[in-house]
Amino acid sequence: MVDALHEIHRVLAPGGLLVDARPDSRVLGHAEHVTAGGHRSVGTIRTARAELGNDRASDRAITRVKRERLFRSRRKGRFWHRVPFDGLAALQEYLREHLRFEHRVRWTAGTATRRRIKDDRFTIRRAVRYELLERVSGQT
Amino acid sequence: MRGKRVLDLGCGDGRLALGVAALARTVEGLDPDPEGIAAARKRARDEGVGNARFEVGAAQSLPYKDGAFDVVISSWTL
Repeated sequence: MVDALHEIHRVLAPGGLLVDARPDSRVLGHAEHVTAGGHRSVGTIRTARAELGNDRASDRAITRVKRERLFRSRRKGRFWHRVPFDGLAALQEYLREHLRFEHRVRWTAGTATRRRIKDDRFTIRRAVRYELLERVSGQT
Repeated sequence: MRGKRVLDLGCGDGRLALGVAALARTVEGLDPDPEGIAAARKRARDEGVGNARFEVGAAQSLPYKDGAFDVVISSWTL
């Protein structure tokens, strides 16, 4: 990852910007039931262990290139990203195939509730972190 | 993004790159997946986008000249 960041530094013009956005695995994802009043969390979704390691490696790489004075942070923050599903089965199918997440929801809604709402609309809501990094003139 | 030279790293099927192309001067998309790049090229043709190009490649060895871009987007890539 550091190699990639060195390459990005090379191809950016002086003062150019790197826009880095990726899932924020420090924050739990949520399975949400979509209701007339909005979105209601019915369970939490954890990031798969292997992906947690990858995320930490990415964090270390960003920290390193800032320490090397190749980039400086201009702005950073977090926003929420929702993926929609038509029904609970579709949400669970997505989780089964998605390597990033654990393959099951840790439900906070009971079995009877889930059975009652299973054909409604659902979303997975997850945090995305972003950082705008300005290229500075350090040597690669 | 307006008037900028933009590189979308890990562009996949080009959805983000083609969205940016409406504002940018030029957009290059790079992804290691040939199927993603083929889909991005087709999408660009279908949408009539003339200022976006897509290449297969890896972020560790970028096939571009020094200082070629004003903005690099790394979305779900690092």
